[in-house]
Amino acid sequence: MNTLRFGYQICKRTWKKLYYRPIHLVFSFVQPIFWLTIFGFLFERSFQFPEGSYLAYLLPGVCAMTVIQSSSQAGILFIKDFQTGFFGRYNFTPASRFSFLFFKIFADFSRIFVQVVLLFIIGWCMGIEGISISFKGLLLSTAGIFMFTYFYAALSSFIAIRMKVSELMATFINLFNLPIIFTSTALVPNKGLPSWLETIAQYNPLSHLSQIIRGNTINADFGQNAGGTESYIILAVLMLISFGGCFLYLKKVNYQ
Amino acid sequence: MWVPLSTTTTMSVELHDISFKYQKGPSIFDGFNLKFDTGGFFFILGSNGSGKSTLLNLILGWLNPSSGTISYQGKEINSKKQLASLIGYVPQDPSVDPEMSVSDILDFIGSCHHLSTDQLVQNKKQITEALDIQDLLDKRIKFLSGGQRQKVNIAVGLIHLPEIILLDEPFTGLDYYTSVKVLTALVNMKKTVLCVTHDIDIAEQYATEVLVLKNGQLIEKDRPSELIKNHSFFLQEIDFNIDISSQLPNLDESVRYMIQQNRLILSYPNKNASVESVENFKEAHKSYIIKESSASDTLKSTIVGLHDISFSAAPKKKAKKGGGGGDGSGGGGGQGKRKNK
Repeated sequence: MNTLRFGYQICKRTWKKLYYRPIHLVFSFVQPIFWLTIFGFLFERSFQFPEGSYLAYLLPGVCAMTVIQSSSQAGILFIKDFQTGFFGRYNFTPASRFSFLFFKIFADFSRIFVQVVLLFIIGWCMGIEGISISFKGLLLSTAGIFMFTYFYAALSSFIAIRMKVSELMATFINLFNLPIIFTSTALVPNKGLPSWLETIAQYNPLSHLSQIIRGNTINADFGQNAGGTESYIILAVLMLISFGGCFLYLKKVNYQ
Repeated sequence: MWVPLSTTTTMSVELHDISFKYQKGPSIFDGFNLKFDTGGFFFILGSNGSGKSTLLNLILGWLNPSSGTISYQGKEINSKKQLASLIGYVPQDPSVDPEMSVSDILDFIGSCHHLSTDQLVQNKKQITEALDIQDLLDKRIKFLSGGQRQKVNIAVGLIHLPEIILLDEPFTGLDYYTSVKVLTALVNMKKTVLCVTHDIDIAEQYATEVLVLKNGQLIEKDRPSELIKNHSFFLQEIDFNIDISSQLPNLDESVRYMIQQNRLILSYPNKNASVESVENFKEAHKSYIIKESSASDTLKSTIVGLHDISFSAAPKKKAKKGGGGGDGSGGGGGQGKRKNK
C-alpha cells in the first residue's frame, strides 16, 4: 500500500508539473502534427499502397516518433533535481530506488500514452482511413509503448544521472533521436529504403514499435512485418537491460 | 499558534578514532574522537576548511572514514536507508523543487520516508505549525521569499521526526526573530541536534555545547558559559565607511583581529587595558569610522580571542512579517587574522 502511495506521489509530481505548464504538452504536438500534415501530404504520392493511404501508414509512425521524443526527455527532471539539490533530498531517504525509477518512468509513460491517444484522435479528425482499434489491439499497442518508453526513458535517465549536465542531455537527444527515427520504418516503409538502410531498419527498435502500433491500430498490412512476437521480445529485452542498468546505477549514486 | 513538537526518542552519536582523507587532498581527520550526547543541542563552529562539512558527511554516511567507527546510541549502522530514517538533514541552501507546492513537497518526502497517511498528516501539521508555515502549504516554492523557502527547507528535513537532526547553516536568509522561532521549535523536539553555523550569538543562547574545529582538530568543546568563564576576552567591533580589508593594522601582539570588509573585529584579554596600537589605528582612520560597539565575556569575544574563527558578516535584520527577507548573513564571510602567530 505504501509503495502505491509512494508511486502516486512520484506520478503526481510529474502530472502537476504538466498541469502548471501545459504548454509543454501543447508543444509536444507541434512536431507530430507538422509531420502528419506537411510531410504526410508531401510524400503521399511517393509511397502508395494498395492496402491503404500513406497517411494511414504514417500515423502509427508519428506516434512512435512521439514516444521516442517524449521518453528521451525523461532524464531532464533528474538534471533539474541535481541543479536544485532536490535529488539529494529524496536520495537520502529509505525509499526504494526500484520503485522510484519505476514510477518516475510510469509517470512519463502515462503522459506519452495520452499523447498517442490524442494523436489518433487528431488522425481520425483528419479523415485518415483504416483506423481500427480493438480492445486487444489497444492492449498490445500499449504494451509496445510501455516497453519502448521504459527502454528509452531509462536510458535517458541513466545519462542524466551519470552526466548531471543539461547540455549533455541535449546532445544525447539530438545525437540519437533523429538517426533512430530516420533509420527506422516509422516514417518510410521498407520498400522506400536503400537495401543497407533496410537492414538497419530491421534491427531498429523504433521500427518494431511502429510496426506493433501499426499492426494493431490500422486495418492494413502494408507489406511490413506487422509487430509480431519477435518485436515484443526485442523491446522487452531492451527494456530489461536499460531499466536494470539504470536502476543498478541509481542504487550506487550517493548524495550529490 | 505555537505548538511544541511531540517527541519520541533520540540518540547519541559517537566518533571513535576516525581518520579521513579526500582522494586528492590533505588528511582532514586523524584519530578523531567525539561524542554528541543524547538530546543535546550542539553548535559546531570553525572557519572554512576546518572539517565541519566533512564531519557532517561522515555522520550522514555519505563519506566513509578510512579508519575508525561511528556509532549511533552505541551501535554501528552501515545501512544508508537506516541512517536516512534516523537522521534529518537540512542543507544550507533550500534544496527543494521550486515548481512544487509546500504541501506537495512535504507529501513527497514524507512518502519517501514511508510515513502512513495519518502519520504524514500529523507530522505535517506539527512541523508546519512549529515553523509557522501552515499558511504557505498551497503555495509553490518559487513564489516564496528566501526566508520562507529556508523554513520549508527545514520542514522537509524534519518531516519524518528524526532521532538526530543535522543542520548546515540553517539560519541563512532568516531574520533574527524567525531564527529564534526555528530554534525554539528545534529545542522543543528534544532531539540530538548538530548545527554547523557561523552565528556565534545564536550558539551562545541555544547551545548545550559549543564545538570549535580547526584543521580537523577539536580545539574546544564545552558549554558556552564555561568557555566564557574560563576565557574572558574583550571584543570591539568597528564599522568603517570604506573597505579596510587591504589595510592591515599594526597592532599589539595581545590583540587578535578579524576584518570583514568594512568591519574590524578586535579581541584582547584585558578589557580595562587601553591598547595603544588600537587607539592609534582608530585615530588614523577616525574619519572613516561610522560605528563602534564593544562587549566583554561573550562567546563571540571568547571564540575570536582564542581562535581565528570567522562568523556572521552582516548584522541580523529586524524581523519582517511573514518571515520573509533574507539578509544573506551567516555565510561565514570574514577573514580571520591573527597578529604575530
